[in-house]
Amino acid sequence: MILKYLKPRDWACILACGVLIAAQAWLDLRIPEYMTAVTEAVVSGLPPSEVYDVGVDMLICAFLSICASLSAGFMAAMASVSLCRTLRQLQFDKVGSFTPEDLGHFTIDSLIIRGTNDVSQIQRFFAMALQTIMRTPILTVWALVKISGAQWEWTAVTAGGAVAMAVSMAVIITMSRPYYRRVPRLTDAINRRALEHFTGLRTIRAYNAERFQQEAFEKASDDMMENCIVMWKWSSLLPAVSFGISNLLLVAIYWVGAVLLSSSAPEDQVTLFSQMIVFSSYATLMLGSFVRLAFMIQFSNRAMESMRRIGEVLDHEPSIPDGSFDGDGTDPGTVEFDHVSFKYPGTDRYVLRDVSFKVPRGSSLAVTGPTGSGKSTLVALLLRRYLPTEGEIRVDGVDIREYRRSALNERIGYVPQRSTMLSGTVRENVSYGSTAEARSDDDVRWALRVSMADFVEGLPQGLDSDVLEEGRNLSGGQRQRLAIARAVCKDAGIIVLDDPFSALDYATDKGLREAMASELEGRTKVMVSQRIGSVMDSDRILVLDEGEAVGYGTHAELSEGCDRYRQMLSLQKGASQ
Amino acid sequence: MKGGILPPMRRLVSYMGHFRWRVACIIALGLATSVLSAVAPSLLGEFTDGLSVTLESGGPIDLDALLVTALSLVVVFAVAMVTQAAGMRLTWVTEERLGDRLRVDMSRKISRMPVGLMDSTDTGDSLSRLVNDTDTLRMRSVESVTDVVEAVVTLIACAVAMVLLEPVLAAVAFIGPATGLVVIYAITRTTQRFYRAQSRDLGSINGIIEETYRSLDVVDSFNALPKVRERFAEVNGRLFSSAIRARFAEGLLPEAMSFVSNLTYVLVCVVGSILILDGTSSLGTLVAFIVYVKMVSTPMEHITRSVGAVQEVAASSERVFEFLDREEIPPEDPETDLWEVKGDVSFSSVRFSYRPGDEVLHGLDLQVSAGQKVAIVGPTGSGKTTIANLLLRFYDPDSGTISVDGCDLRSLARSDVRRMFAVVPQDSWLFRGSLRDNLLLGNGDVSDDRIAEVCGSMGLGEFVDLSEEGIGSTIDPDSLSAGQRQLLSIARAALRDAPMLVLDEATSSVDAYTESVIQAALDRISEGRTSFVIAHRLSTIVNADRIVVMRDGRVVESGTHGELMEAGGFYRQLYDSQFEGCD
Repeated sequence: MILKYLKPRDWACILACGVLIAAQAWLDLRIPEYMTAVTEAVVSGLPPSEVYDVGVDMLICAFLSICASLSAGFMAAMASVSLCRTLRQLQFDKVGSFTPEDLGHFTIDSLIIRGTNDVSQIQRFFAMALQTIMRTPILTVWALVKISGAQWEWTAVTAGGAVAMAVSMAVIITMSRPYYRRVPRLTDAINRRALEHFTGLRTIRAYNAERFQQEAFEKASDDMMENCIVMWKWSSLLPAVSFGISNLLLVAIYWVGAVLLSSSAPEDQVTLFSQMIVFSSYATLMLGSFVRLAFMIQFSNRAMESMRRIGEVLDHEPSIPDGSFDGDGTDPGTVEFDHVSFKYPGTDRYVLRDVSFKVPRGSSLAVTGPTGSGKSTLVALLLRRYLPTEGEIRVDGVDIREYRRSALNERIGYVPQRSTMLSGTVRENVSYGSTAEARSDDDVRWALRVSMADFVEGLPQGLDSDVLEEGRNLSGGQRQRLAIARAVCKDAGIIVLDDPFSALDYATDKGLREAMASELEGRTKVMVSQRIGSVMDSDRILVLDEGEAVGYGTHAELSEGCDRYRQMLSLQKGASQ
Repeated sequence: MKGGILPPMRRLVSYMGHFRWRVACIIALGLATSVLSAVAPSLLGEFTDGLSVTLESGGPIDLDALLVTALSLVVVFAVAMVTQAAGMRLTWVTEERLGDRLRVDMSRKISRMPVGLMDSTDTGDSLSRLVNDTDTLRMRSVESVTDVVEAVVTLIACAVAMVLLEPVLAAVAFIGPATGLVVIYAITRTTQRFYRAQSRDLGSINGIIEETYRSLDVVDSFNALPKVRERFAEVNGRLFSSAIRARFAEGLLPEAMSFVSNLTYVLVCVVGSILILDGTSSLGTLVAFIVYVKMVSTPMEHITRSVGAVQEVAASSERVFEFLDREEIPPEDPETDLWEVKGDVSFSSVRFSYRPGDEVLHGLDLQVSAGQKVAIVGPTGSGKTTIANLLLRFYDPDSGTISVDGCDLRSLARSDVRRMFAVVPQDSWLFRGSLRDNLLLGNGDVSDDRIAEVCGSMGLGEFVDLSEEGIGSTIDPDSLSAGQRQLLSIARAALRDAPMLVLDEATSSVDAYTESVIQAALDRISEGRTSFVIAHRLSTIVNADRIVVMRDGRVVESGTHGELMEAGGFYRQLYDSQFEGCD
């Protein structure tokens, strides 16, 4: 399955790698022959010039072998590094299409590890595997050819060695496999604990919970360590046992040779002796290549698990299929819920029940209701984070299921409940998104004015001021106003605000609503809020209670006819007086 | 950036000091293995010599004598197998322990860095240091260091033996390896930047991934994905080229070195045969030398094969230790132990700035008597949250003092200061874990009934009952609404039996009805406790004992609701604004 992510160029690299490895193997096998020739020349007392001649031949051969091996290594690296670039990019692109449900399925901490650490494992493994897989058969076949036709006793001993090797490798690999497979998941856990410490820093400190968090982290870290220690206890046997077996085989071959020699006719002895030397060297060569194969199989356990995890991400179908509609709607600027009911996937409780409304172009709808009444769910549905269980939602008169994701996003300016900011400058944050280039500084300033984010003008670097990751250098109220400015700056026909004033005082809240009413006259507005004060001047108000629409109308109408609304109103006024 | 691999490696080696006995054992086992592997060929030689001598002489083969040699070979190989396995096992286990220790140290470090520094830290990049860079060290560090040490020891041993045998040939034989070492060092100075870039680019990739995935809601809604993808592709491309260069450099050295050792071999043979012709050297010496040349080439190859690993390790340890060396909260030397806190709090001419030259509080004065409920109100950005930050000693004032019961907070340990407060921060933080752990954060021994009772009083009773295992069940913060998260965060504060309370926008995301329920519960908890309530929604604070109105880092008004309404100042304005148009 790893292979389908290779590009044509990667295949070319692999092919070249194979050819080069074959050439190198052939050259490598010749070097010892030359070396023997040089030694013989010296020992038999040939003049230095002849030693030199043979030596030069050997060097040429060695040089060519290096060139082949280097290029083969380069080709293998090229293929594996390029494969990993592809795997990283594909995963990143894929996760971009994920819905909150998909993200929850994998969890973000695990997706981070899959996108980086798991890919690195494959990179390490793949280059090694490529070279081993190609070299092993070549060397094995070569060695088999060289030793075929020798005495059956030697073949039997070698076969015995090979079987012993295969069995012990199989045992070690099988025993260590589960531990290798567990590593990526343990890495996820370490990442999760560390990420928690970063995100919960202030709470952890305020509650003197550093120790608690540290213990949780150490648990994850120790789990990893303990798992790997057991894994290594098995794995460390692999090289020792394999070298041991091939060395013992060597002794066995020599011993068998000695016994054969002692019982053979004197005229056969010289041939038998040299056969023994040749046989032993090729038998160890063959077992040596087995060892490399065994190493590769062992490391493949971890790499395959990483690949499986990456495959899981890449093959995951986003829980909401994308549509294809990209044109103009039949009824621009409108938002319509048509008998919408919704249950979160995997649960059987309705969070919204039979909700219907239509917001005409340029008009405003406020959604209010107690905590847990389904207000934020309504926004999530409108943004197509989830699909309604029943009913239909239309934007610009078109079912939102039909839209291409980007086309739907383009129509809506969104202010999330959590005012997420990204690292960059104020300008980058406010003019954020696909149309950033088209936004002039004047547009940005206008958006900041509308959202009462005048504090930016007071910053030493104005629009160029830095915003830290998550907006950590801004107060809650400042973040919230920038989030509103960001949605205002985006030139969308519809603006959706999820509890946008929670961190703002009433004066700012009021100023903002006034500015939005006058400056964003043509835009359709859908706003969620708990505050009656914030919703009452909307054109229409939808009152939700336990997922049901218990009131729909203007402030005046609801004050008359909706008990729940009146209750909320009196509660908020009552509490203040 | 600075060049060589030596500074980070020195740092790593001194860190390995924690494992010095293990490392010494690994080196000893490694050397034992090499000695045994050096002995084996000569025993093998003895065996073949025994055979060939008898072959030449035509006599019968003495199987008994050969059996002795064969058995000693078996013994040598068996012992080598044991030392090798033990060495490997010890190496890898030590690497695991080293990795664990580094991770744990890095995690502890997070607790020791000032809040301000943590805020400006790239989370994804730090995670990459903690996960990916320690992973590199965990896989390769001990191995690469001990390999080099063993190789150097072997080299020195060979050098001594060769010089004693024949100085001229020794010089010839060492020209290659010596030049090799110099060249290797020179090359690493150039290639180190590829390894460094590789680690750094992986960190940046991690940074982009972490930020994008966590903000996917916004990134997607603003159709910013194509742009983020482009940026990702760019960094990914950079990582590609730094990785490919590092891999190439890693492969180049061993190949070059094996060529150098072949070259040396030929040189030794040629020079040797000249010396033999001159009569200055004997054939026996030359043959011995040929063996040594081969022996030298093995550790040289080990060194070159380790160079890539060493460089990668150096690049990662640079990043790990850079993190561990970051600024820390100054060590404290508390003069005062925690006492039975009454809760008189005073701010006197407190000035504070997050960034030098950008003052947020300009000489704040505020006296609060024990048991008072003080509300802090004012426009966003007026410095309200800063007061909470200073009370909890996330930061210390630039000048002026904050004291509790007349005792300067700076004379107390930070953990003691924090023990005085139960806090509900502006952003509720919860983690995937049991409800119980989320609420207690490891503090105190609170009975399940008490937890259930507090949750009930916070309007969370239904939430707890719906969860399968009650307070032992695991919660997933992402599936909770903002209101629920806030309620849990308040319940957490309620369960912390602290003498003072700090509520920073504690009820901003809950509806008025729930708020009134919580308010009642909070009123009960704050009975007799000094509490600071930061709020935009004035409804929650009208019955505070004292309302402090802030504007631009100063207290502009202070008094009870009634007094302030009467005064008709800024507070009155704020208050009236929430009912305008509301009849």
